[in-house]
Amino acid sequence: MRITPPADTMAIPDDYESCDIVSINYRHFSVWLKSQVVETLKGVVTEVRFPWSQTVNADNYRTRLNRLPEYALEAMELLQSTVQTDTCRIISCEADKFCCTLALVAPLPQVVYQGLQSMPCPDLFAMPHMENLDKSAAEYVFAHRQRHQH
Amino acid sequence: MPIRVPDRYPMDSEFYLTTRDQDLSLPLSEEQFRELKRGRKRLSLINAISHKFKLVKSNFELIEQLMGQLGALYSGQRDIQKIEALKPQFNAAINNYILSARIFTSQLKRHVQGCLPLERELILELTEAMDQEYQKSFSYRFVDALYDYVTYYGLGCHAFQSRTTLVEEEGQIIRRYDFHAYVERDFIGGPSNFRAAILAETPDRVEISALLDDYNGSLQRLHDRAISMTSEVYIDAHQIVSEFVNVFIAKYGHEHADVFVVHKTRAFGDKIYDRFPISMYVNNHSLSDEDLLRTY
Repeated sequence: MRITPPADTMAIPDDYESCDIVSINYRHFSVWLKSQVVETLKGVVTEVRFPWSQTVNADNYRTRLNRLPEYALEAMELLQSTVQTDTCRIISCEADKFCCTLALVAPLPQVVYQGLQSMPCPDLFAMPHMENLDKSAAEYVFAHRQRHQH
Repeated sequence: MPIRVPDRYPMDSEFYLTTRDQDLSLPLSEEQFRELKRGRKRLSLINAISHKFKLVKSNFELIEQLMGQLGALYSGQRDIQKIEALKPQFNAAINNYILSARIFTSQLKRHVQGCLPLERELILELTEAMDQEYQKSFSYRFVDALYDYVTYYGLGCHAFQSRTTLVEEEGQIIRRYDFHAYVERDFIGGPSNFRAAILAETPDRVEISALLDDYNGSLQRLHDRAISMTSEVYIDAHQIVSEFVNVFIAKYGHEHADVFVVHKTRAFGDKIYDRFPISMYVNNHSLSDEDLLRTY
């Protein structure tokens, strides 16, 4: 069903599409860069997985995961402002009750590593886990959407 | 001594048309009373078919309304309390829909049969039409099976999806918001909880509004079939009842247009044995001719 959005709608960043699945025992929120843009990106895809911090976990429990999208977008903004090179873009961000997974594409994975090292430790997360993937940005986003959409 | 069996139960009955508080009345013969009783029964059965169909459709509208509200709340993601308050209401609307659908389908044949007690062929035809919907439509089978699940667990919806996509409309890229609700197969449980044959053909997720939209189509066909089968009976019964109402009005005036039929009997100490309204069937403001598919 198509929805007329209310005036106070949650701000999804431009060029990104989103999907929020709310079920009984899981919640899955994700945003991804629209395909027209993602297809033009070249470079290495690096996936960074941030487990939620104790505080966020507790809050998620209390709010029945209803603030999960808010936290995910906050994380995305934080990372975007840390890695401020034109050649490095966030291609997707997904959050469930365990962690927030961000995928970036950069000409070299070092760009992402350096960026993250300079990032002040955020309150939102515990220690992140990083992984370079042998996939193009478009392939990654495609696989990501396959996982959760119907 | 042989017991004398009376050829008719000696109720010593009297029959009247009366106003609501019975201060005005017109006597009826037993035959007229029977005619009115039969007419009223038929009209009430046919009206029941329409009322029940409307019940399903109204519950569907409630589902759509609540879905729109919930979708707007999820796209805002602000008012958590309102979201949590609306979710059970949405579930309630779905439960009501499923229950009212069963109220409709389980009694349809009985209602038609009550109007056409001698038309076995027609009843068979209706049975066949219902079987055919069941054979042809997954939605029909699924909603039918979901009734058992819903009555057992009180849950008619498992998941929501709120999504935004960027689409081009009138030369501009805009963000489109969509909202869907689902029944998830994993949450239904195993074949011991759900009709096994239907569980086997159930996809991972069943989208509720598409499901019910399709199901509404089946019910519409059955409703139209039943109404057209009974339309002749309806017109006859309507004519008989309105004739009596008109006679009463002609005698006592329009201010006494709310007419009842009363069956009194001495056997009960001049008490009322049976009483039923008739004006509501000839002057029904809650059902239109359109509901009853009438064309005069």
